[in-house]
Amino acid sequence: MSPAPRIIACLDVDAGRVVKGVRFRDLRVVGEPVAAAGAYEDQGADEIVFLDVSASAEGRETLLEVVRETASTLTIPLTVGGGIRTVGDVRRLLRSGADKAGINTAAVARPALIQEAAAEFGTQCVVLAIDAKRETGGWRVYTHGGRTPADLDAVAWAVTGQDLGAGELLVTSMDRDGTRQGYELELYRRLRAATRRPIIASGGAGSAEHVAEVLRDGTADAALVASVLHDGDLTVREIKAHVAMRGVRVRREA
Amino acid sequence: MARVTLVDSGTGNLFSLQEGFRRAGADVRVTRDPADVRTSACLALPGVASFSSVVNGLAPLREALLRAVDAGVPVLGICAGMQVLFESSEEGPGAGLGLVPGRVRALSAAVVPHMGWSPLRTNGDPWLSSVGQGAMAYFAHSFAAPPDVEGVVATADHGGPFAAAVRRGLVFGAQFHPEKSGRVGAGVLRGFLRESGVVPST
Repeated sequence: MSPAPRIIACLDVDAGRVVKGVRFRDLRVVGEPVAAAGAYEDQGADEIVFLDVSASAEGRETLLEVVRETASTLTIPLTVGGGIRTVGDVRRLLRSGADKAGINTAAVARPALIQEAAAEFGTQCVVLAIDAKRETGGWRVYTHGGRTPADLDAVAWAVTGQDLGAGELLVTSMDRDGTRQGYELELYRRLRAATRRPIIASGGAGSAEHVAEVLRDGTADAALVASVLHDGDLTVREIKAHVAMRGVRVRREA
Repeated sequence: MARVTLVDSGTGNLFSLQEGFRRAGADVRVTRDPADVRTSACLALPGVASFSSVVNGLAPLREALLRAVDAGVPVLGICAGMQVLFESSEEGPGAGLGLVPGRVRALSAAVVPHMGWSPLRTNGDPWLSSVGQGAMAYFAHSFAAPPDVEGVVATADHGGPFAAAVRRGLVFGAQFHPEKSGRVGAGVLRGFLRESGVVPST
């Protein structure tokens, strides 16, 4: 029996504030990360993801403090990604209380980083984050926060990442990010067929039904949710109630 | 205040477990010093990474750990920290602590690691008395002990059943992460302190 499909609350963090954009652009401040993470935990989130979108070194230092403060009260897993370049960066995050590190651009630039981090901290600590944009015949990998196209097919890169030791695949559809049009289901079906790692679907959640769609039939193992939570349109509890009604076995705290 | 000594085998997130024990009412120190291990009221072995890396990380503390357990100091191994309580693992070379007989094996599920929340089936051991039948705990692992090893007090399933928790006297092991398992996990940490006799039952 597989674990209960997870609903993961994702917070994009810029210099200590939660922000959210549309298709990776037009970022706006929507809250404070420590409080938001705690609120989503109380609503029944199964995990929290912080994605550091800070452009500056100061912003990154702030993130470690935010991670520490969040981890001191959080009793569910915390994944942190964004700006990770080295094994030392991963170590600092884990020592600050993160459970897993999401690696994106640096893994494309130097795939051996996945191997090194997995050897040092275990495969279950290494999340390969992939930003994917649809084009004819598949999905292209983009790096640097979606600004730079890479010469990689997203599904093939996921397989390479798995073989190098990534323990989980967090795949964001750039076309759906922030649009609330639903997850890119076809992408996750392809990834499920090609890999044997847990898959986190990201980008496009606009309703509880969208979450049910991507979690039903094991298309993805987890669904990342951001905008609809930050805007207060839905709570994690409401999403879980709907998803459960659709026959997906979700965790409900007694 | 009850003191838990967190044995640092070198890698990963000790911070969450430290905070988890604090919330459960214990005072926590983190150490890599054998002298601290010998003078502890109660020990916790967190473990991320692999069986071999935890075995290697613990090597300088091995004798102190075994002597402390012999002398009746309670110990809780978590995740790879539970796996090193056994004799060996398919994952890699190195001798476990041998406090529980058996060998850790690879999970055979279609998707690994086993990552996420799975229901626990408990057998009524007082350690897990706060855990309702089917309550979910958070797992992140690719290897586990078989479900029929000596001292199994809870099982879970991922491509087949495995030992989710073991207990032999004052040797406790949790394959899941109690510090990451919400209220269910908080009850598991409190139960460990209570069964260890370091925090009076309330």
